[in-house]
Amino acid sequence: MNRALQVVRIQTLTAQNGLVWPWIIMAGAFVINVALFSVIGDEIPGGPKTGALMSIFIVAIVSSTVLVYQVLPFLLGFGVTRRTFVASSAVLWTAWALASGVGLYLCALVERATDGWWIDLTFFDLPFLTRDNPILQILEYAATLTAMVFLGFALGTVLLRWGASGFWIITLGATLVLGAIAVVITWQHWWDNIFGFFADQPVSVLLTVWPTAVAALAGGVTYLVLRRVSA
Amino acid sequence: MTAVVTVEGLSKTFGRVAAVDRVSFELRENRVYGLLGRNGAGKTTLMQLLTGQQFRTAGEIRVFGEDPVENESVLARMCFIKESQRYPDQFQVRHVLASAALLYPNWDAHFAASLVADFALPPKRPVKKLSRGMLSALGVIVGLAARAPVTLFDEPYLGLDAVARQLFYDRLLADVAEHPRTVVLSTHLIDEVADLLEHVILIDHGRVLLDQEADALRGEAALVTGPAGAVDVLTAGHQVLHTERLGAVTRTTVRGSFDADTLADARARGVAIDPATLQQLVVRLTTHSIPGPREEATR
Repeated sequence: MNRALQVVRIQTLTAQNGLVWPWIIMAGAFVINVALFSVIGDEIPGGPKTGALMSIFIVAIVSSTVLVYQVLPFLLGFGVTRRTFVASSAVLWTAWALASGVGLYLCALVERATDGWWIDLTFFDLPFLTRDNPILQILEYAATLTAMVFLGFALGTVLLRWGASGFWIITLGATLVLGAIAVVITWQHWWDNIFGFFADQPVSVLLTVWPTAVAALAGGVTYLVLRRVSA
Repeated sequence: MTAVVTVEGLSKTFGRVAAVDRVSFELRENRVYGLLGRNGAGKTTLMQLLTGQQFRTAGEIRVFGEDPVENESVLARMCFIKESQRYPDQFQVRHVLASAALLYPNWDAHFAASLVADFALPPKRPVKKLSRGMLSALGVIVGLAARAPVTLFDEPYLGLDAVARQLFYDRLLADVAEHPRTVVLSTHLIDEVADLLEHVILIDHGRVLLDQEADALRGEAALVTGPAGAVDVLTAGHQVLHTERLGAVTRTTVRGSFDADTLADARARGVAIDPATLQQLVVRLTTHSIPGPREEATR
């Protein structure tokens, strides 16, 4: 067996690995939303819409951060190269994101078929998604999840290499840089152009191509940071 | 015998401290090495460098003729058992063994199972919940059952009681006889492993102090015990490593050995000359060096 696939196998040895947590947390958020809007949903014109689907995206970041932080030092000690770890994690989590995309789409189908879980609730089948094209809708979920997962990898490797204080210093640095960019954009009155640039693109591009680019960038950062992580 | 590991002018500095300082040696195929030295001497760093887990500042490392850093084919043939090994939180003993089975090509599952029974390790116990000794036993089991052509044990005995340590030495000796491989044992319990070692590398302040066959080392130092005056006469001209006096009796540790005439002379004077044990030699050679700032080494 290829060594990267062996490492994928190791990452899935325990049932409680990070792959299932995003779904469990989202399921919790779903149950709460159904309960909540069963009680007060009647009062909302057009039926309740919730952004609680965000939970799976947030937990995906946390889950992949924790995975890198815990599994990489273990594997390095067992003679796995950093390159193989990155490759195996990319394969495993991209597959997870695709499977989750299919899963979320199936949930969206059930939501449609049951008129919003019998209470007119919009949880999975968000209105801004490309709902008339199953493939695109699946890819929109999957690409966004992939971006989250790879951001988590980058965070986990930063944490491993520079520790908690390094992590916060980098967070502070990033905040200052992004803040400075925002100041420049405001000063130069570029916001309209920037919003226009994104608004002119079809949703399917915004939700597939851009997240994939973010994932690729985060993946590159992950590998560059990881190259000097010692076990 | 061919060299499986060759190290040439290897250095690793952390800030101003040279953990490993211009070290050169080689490890040959199918031999058992003792990597000895005090705490902070640089043993662990050296083994991390050999297995690509740390990055060298200068020098050359060749394992099976190649650089080990990020080298899959080399690293798959090495097993490094270290005290600071980290495990994922959810991992139980059996997950660690399953991982090792996937990653080490020579893994012997039957041998591993028999070792798990020998050390009475509970397979379903989370690694987090293992006692210090059980954690060491887990490392020992992985290191032995992996049968990696180059196996490094960094103080594998921490928390293991005397019986378990003896079990480890026995299994190691028996398995190496049957499946020869290069083993490096880094340990403080020198007397316990002295009979196992075929070659000794002594590290002090990041430098190699000794690199010799274990047999040759047995004559490397001697203990001269007897009346003070007689001992002083006999040890004149030898490099004195240590002297202790107890009343009228003096015991001096000297480097080198004595010829037959001197030995007869010593007997006549009521002086006993015994070969120093490996542990005595190591202690005497490294006692002068008090760990502290090593500016002179980094300059």
